[in-house]
Amino acid sequence: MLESIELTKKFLGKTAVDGISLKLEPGHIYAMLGPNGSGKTTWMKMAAGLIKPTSGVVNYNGSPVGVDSRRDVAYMSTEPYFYDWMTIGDVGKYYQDFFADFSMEKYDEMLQDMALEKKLKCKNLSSGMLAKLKVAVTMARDAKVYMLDEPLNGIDLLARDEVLNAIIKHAGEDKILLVSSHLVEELESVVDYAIFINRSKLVGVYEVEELRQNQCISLADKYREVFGSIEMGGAC
Amino acid sequence: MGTLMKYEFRKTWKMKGIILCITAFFQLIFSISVVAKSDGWLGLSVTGLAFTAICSVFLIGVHGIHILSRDINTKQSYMLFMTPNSSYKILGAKTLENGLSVIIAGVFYTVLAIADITILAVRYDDVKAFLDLFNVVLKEAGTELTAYTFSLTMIQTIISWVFLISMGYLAVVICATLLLGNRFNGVLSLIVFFLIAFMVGNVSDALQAAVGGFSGIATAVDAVFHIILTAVMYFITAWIMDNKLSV
Repeated sequence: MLESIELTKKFLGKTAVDGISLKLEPGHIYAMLGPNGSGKTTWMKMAAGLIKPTSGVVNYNGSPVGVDSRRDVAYMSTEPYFYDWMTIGDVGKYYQDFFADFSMEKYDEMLQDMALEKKLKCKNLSSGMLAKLKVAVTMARDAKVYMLDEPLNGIDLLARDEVLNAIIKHAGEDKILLVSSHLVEELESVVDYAIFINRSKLVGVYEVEELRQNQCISLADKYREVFGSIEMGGAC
Repeated sequence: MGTLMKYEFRKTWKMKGIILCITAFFQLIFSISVVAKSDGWLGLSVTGLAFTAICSVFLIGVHGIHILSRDINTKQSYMLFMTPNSSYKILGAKTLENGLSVIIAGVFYTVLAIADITILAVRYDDVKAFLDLFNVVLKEAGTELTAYTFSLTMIQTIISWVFLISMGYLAVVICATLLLGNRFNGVLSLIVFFLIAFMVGNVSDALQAAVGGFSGIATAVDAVFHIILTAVMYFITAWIMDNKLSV
């Protein structure tokens, strides 16, 4: 289980994440939704152990995230982060060297599906190709927790389907999948829960099926209601 | 640690390759001009070799500091810090790779210099006479130029340089953590760097004077002193990275 308790991060007087307490359970796919600058990325980076919280804590299976949790957590940043000298093949070798759960076979398969050639240099890739590469190398791990920050950004419709398929394929009883995106409608059919964050604070965690069944509202409409202050929903 | 060091080397091998090629070029000119007894080319090659030797050891260290700065201040930092490695391991790999590179380069150029000077002394009587005269002057100062004393000086210089690199690491990490957001963080960390260097220099001089000027024992004491300080710098830097660094 991944849990943040009263998690806060301040940058030079600006509060990026403000006292967020949240529990993510294995066996579910979560969407983290909110406008730009709401704190989604900062929360994910703290959960990945890349950013130190100002206060509060993120626990993974009861212990604060750190070196040990990185063995189980596969984090994909929204920004490209590969070394300039690397080819797509080097990226795979790098992950294989550092992550015991990385499968080169699965990586090769995903590269083939996404039409990426191993000999291509990362620094020469288009933003769409880089986005696909990030997804491929992250999902080629057999991690316990996947955190994908804006995986659908910068890629075409067909590639989006591939990414969403990869997400569904990796869902399992013992896995936590967390995906942040602005493309609410595209995530709606994939996720179990939606975490809404606005202005650094947690607005709420909603079960997507429950929204549809009991509140007769889609996830996209709930998003509009929460962030746009428009009354939505109605009779089922 | 080995894997981390492999990738640290991968980040610097191009620069090291270029340095090696330049050295090989000047050594080739040196060898040809010794055989051909061409004084003009010999002078050029000796100057080139001396310049390359000094610059290479300096460049390897500075480049290592630059890479650490890039690895903690750009998005490429994720490549290191999302792997299951502690800051102690990450910094340890950097320090070892860079320190070993400086030591190997230092030893390589020391051996090359001893070999080239010996060749010159055998080939040119003037050089032999100059070295003898130089030795007389040094003896007056309480030492002499032999392969042993020359090696001692080089070892001392290399170890001091490795220590300075570890201080550079500390300055870069302080800049990216404790002084982050401060308008003058670059200047402040530079001041910290020079202050520590100044203090350590004074203690080192005092130690040498106490042990008795230039001797094997004085060099050994100074080397141990700098090795301990390098270890202290490493632990302070890694602790700051582990507890304060956000990438």
